[in-house]
Order: sequence, then C-alpha cells, then structure tokens
Amino acid sequence: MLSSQQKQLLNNKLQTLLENSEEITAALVTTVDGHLCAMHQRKDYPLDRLATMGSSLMSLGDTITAELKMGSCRNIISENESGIVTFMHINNSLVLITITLQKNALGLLLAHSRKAAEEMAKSL
Amino acid sequence: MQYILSTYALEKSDRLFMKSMIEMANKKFGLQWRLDDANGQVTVVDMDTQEGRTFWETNRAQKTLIAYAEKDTYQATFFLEKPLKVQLVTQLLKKLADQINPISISPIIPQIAPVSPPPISNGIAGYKPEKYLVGLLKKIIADGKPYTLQLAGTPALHVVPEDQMCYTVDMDLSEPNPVQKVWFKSTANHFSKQPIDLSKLNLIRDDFTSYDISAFLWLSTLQSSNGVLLAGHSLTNPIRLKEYPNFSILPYDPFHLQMAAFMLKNTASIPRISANIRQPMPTVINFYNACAVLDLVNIEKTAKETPEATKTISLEKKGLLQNIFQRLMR
Amino acid sequence: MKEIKLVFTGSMGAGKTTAISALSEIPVINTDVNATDEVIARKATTTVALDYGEMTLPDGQKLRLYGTPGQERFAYMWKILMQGALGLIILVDNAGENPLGDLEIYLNHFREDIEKTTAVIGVTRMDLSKKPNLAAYNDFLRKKNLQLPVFSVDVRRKQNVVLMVQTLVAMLEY
Ligand SMILES: Nc1nc2c(ncn2[C@@H]2O[C@H](COP(=O)(O)OP(=O)(O)OP(=O)(O)O)[C@@H](O)[C@H]2O)c(=O)[nH]1
Ligand SMILES: [Mg+2]
Repeated sequence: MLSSQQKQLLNNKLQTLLENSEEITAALVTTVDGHLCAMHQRKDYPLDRLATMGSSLMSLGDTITAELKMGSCRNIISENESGIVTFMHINNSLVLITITLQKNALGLLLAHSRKAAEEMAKSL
Repeated sequence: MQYILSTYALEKSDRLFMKSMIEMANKKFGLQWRLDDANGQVTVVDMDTQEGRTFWETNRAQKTLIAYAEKDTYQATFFLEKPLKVQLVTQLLKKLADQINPISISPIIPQIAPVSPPPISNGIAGYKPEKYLVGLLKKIIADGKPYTLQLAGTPALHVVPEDQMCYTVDMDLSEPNPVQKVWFKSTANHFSKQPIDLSKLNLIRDDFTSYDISAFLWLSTLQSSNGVLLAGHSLTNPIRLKEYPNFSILPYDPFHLQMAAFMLKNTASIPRISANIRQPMPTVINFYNACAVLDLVNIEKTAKETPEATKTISLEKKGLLQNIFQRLMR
Repeated sequence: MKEIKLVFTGSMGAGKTTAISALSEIPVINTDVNATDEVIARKATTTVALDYGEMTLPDGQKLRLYGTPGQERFAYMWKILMQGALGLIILVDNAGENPLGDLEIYLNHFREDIEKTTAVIGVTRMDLSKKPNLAAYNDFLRKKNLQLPVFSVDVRRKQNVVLMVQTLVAMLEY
C-alpha cells in the first residue's frame, strides 16, 4: 500500500520525533488493519505485535466514539505504572503509536505525537 | 362416466393438493374425476373459514357438499379431515362415485400408500430399502447413469449420478406437503423408470431445481421406514455416528440435532438412545435407518457402551441451553 | 449471573461478521477497518478487534455473540474473547488457499477450549470451491482425534447460522 519512499519518509519523521524529545522511548506507524509500516525505538520492544494490538485498540476507540456520537476519536491513552502509550490516527489508514517510560510526560507525549502525526499526514 | 368436483373457500395450496390427489386417484384407480369450480356436482367446503360456513348454510339443502375441517362437528354426510391425505381423498372420491351414479365403476382398489410394514417385534429387523424409492435411487447411483423416475400424477424426478444431484420442480424439502410425503413413502414398484437421453441432460439441468441426491435418500428412508429397523440390523448392538449428518443439505426436525449429538458422543443401543433423548423408539429407528443408508454409523459389535451418566450438567445449565435452542426456533 | 456467550472464529473472510449480523437483534458492534493488504482482493474490510451481537432469550437473559478477527496476527484477541464462552463455532473459507490448514490453526489454538466446551465447524463458500469436500473435513477431524459436527454453510442464509448454533447447543447438552 505504501511505497518504500513513503515508508522511508515515515521513518525519518519518527527519527526526528525521538531526537526532538528524549522522553519518547519508541514510536511506530501501523496501518489500521495492523501492519507495521515504520518504527523507531531506544529499546527493543516487539513492535510488530504492538502494531496489530494498536490497530485493534484504535478501531475500538473509533467504535466507542461513533457509538457516543462524539465526532472522531482524537487519541487513546493508556496510562500505566511505569509509562504511557498513546494511539492516534495519522489519517484514515494509518495510526501513530508512541511510548514513554516517564509517568509524568503525558502532556508532552501527546503534544509531540500530535504534531508528528499532522506532519506525516501532510507529507504523505 | 365423468364426475366433477368443485372447491369453496379452500386455501390455494389445498386446492393444488386436491388437484394432484384427484389425478393420483384417477390414474391409479381408474376413476374419472376432474376439478372444475364452476360446474361441480360435489363441492368441498373449507369449514374453518367464515366464508365456507356461510356457503354451507345457504347451500346444504340443494347441493352435495363435503365438509373439509379439522374436526367433524357439522354432522355432514361427507366429511374430509384436515390436512389433506391422499388416502382419505381417494376413499372419499370412490365412495362419492358410487353414490352419485348407481352404476359402480370402481375397480377393486389396490393400496396406494406403501404396504404397511409389520410392527417391530423383539428386535427382528425388517426394513428393506430396496423396496422403496431409496432403493431405486441407490441402484441408479450404483449404475452411474441418469434416469427419470415418475410416480403417476406427480412431477418427474431426474436423477443424475455424475452430478450427485436430482432435478425436479421447486419444493421445500424441509416441509414436504402431504402429496410429497406420500411420494417419499411410495414403494419402488409404483415408480416408472426411464433412462435419460444424454442430449437432454443440459436441458434438465437448466429447467429444474437441483437437489443433493443424499437429501432424497435421506427423506425417503425417514419417510418409508415406519419405525421398522433395517433388515439385518439389531436393536441391541451399540452404535455410534461416524460423523454428524450434514443438516444444511439433509432436512431435519430440531430433535434430530439432539439425537445426532447424543449419537456422535456416545456409543449406545437404540433403546438407550430413545430413553436418553426422550424420543419414541420408532422415531429413533427411522433416524438410525437414514443415517445407515448414508453410511454415517458405525456398528460397534465389540465396543462397550458409553457408561450412563458420562455427562452431567447442572439443571441450571440445561435450562439455559434449552432456552437458547427454543429462541432459535423462531 | 455469568455472562452467556458464544464465539465465532475462523479464517479470514469466512463469514464470522456476516454470521453474527444474521442472528443479532442489535446492530452489530463491529471493528472492521479498511484492509490495506492482499485481503483487498477478496473484500474491502477486515475485523481487527471483535464483532459483538446479542440475542434475547425467552427468560430475558442476553446471549452474547462474539466474533474474533480471522487473521492470525490478531490471535491475542482470540483468547480474550473465548474466556467463559459456552462454545465455539469455527468457520472455514473453502475458497481459501489451504482450508484444512486454516482449520488446523483454529483447532490447535482452541484445542483446550474445545475439549472443555465444544465446537461446530461450518465450511463456507463451497459454491466457489467444491474441494476439499465434507468427507475430507471429517477425515481430517478423525485424524486429529476430534468428533465434531461439520456443515457446509452459507452464512448469508440465517437458517444455516441457526443450524450451527442449535447444533452447538445440542452438543453441549448431550
Ligand atoms: N459466495 C459466497 N459468499 C459467502 C458465503 N458465505 C459468506 N460469504 C461472503 O463472504 C464474505 C465474508 O465476509 P465477513 O463476514 O466480513 O468475513 P469475516 O469472517 O468476518 O472476515 P474477517 O473479519 O476479515 O476475518 C461476505 O462478503 C459474505 O457475503 C458463501 O457461502 N458463498
Ligand atoms: Mg469479520
């Protein structure tokens, strides 16, 4: 679906995202049906699996938002004992997932992720 | 000598059945009835409708009427029970023919319905598939050549083994009408059998509805078994289904699903199946025969029966399962 | 009272979502998204989380119908959805590349659940591909030492879906 050029572009954007904010531990882009397209990380998480799970969660988020007629789902946040994960649409077919290990970095994580997602959407 | 029958306030399907039953009776027994609503000498009136009852009241003095109803509460001279049954209609037509015309034209009538088989007695087997439609079908399958089977007065059945299909008119196998039921029960010698010219095969495939042959083997065995176990089989042998019948093709009643589930999971004799499923023995036997004809059962002469109470489920769960089953019957 | 539920699983595009829609009284909650891979050649969308439908039983209780995603990469959803289910319906797309291989994936994955509860197998899209036939499926099950009902079904026909669920219930009762 995505050309290798587009994938490269996404990879670059993810790299910039991690370079600009050291709080972000990992970031990846998945298709809505759960195929990993691009990733960048400081650890070695099995991001393939996260990509599929992220697509399930994003679609549940969309389903819930539609059920409640709340427009479109902006993001899903998973706040955990030792970190935060966010999920948000880049466009209709791609989802950005970002991870931080800092419990207090939610605002930052959301802001940077949102900006990256918007840039990716524009440049594709 | 012709006789004319008319109908009043009958449902369309009833009128159609009536028509084909008249044809059957005529062909088989040399009667000459025909259906003509405008000129009937005798009129069949559906008494379970308001229209019918009114007609009855106004015409009973002048006309010869037949009360067609579930119960005979009209003190009618002629009564015909609902639903229509070939045998009853035939007898009635014969009786009428005798009374309307003093010259009796009716020959001695052979039974149309399958010869009533002997009742089951102490497990001695007796159902012989070769005597029925199922036997004809099996023979055609074994020969591998296409044939047309026909029972007088009913639509032809084109059997094409290479397709594993039969072709005939549209019908709902899950709810055969009274005429079709009789058809499925009929003995082999009532059918005529004609080879199908190979050049006509494609016409038949295009013009008729196709049905899996196994559905016809299945139905004719179920319908013609009459609670008599297959010849050579024993009531005391433990049996078990090799595989669950493919009920998306084979017509079934809901209790068949339960019977099959029990027989797939347990090795048991027919009397025990009957007790466990709470279905009368003849019903289990009919089902067993049909499974055996399709080669779906193992006879486990050496195997032990599954001990009783292998499966115990709580009353609460049983209730729940029955609830789900019921809900799906709608 | 425990949740009363049935699970539909099986190969991608076999008809799980369609089957649940045939039975459900409520609009099916579904998480189908546009497919972006080779699935597109077959159909536009695929389930990525779950399908959910409901039926009301005569006593007012709800029977919950869950559908899993078909694709194996979503297998983590399978276990989650199967928890506490009364039984399993496995649909296999006969027009797929390796239908018996597909069936094996689900039989292996759900083996314990099948042994604890039961399963019914529905082979779909046989109008598009006649082989393998039902006899092959029954042989395959025998080899795997399983005795389970197998039907040829078209899940677009409600009566076929009803047959599978009624059979599942009968298998649980006896
Ligand atoms: N020709 C044919 N089509 C069928 C049959 N059964 C189902 N279908 C079609 O096959 C498709 C099945 O699609 P879904 O119900 O989305 O399949 P699914 O199992 O939910 O797929 P995933 O969620 O992607 O795993 C639908 O378009 C049905 O109309 C059949 O027996 N014959
Ligand atoms: Mg689906």
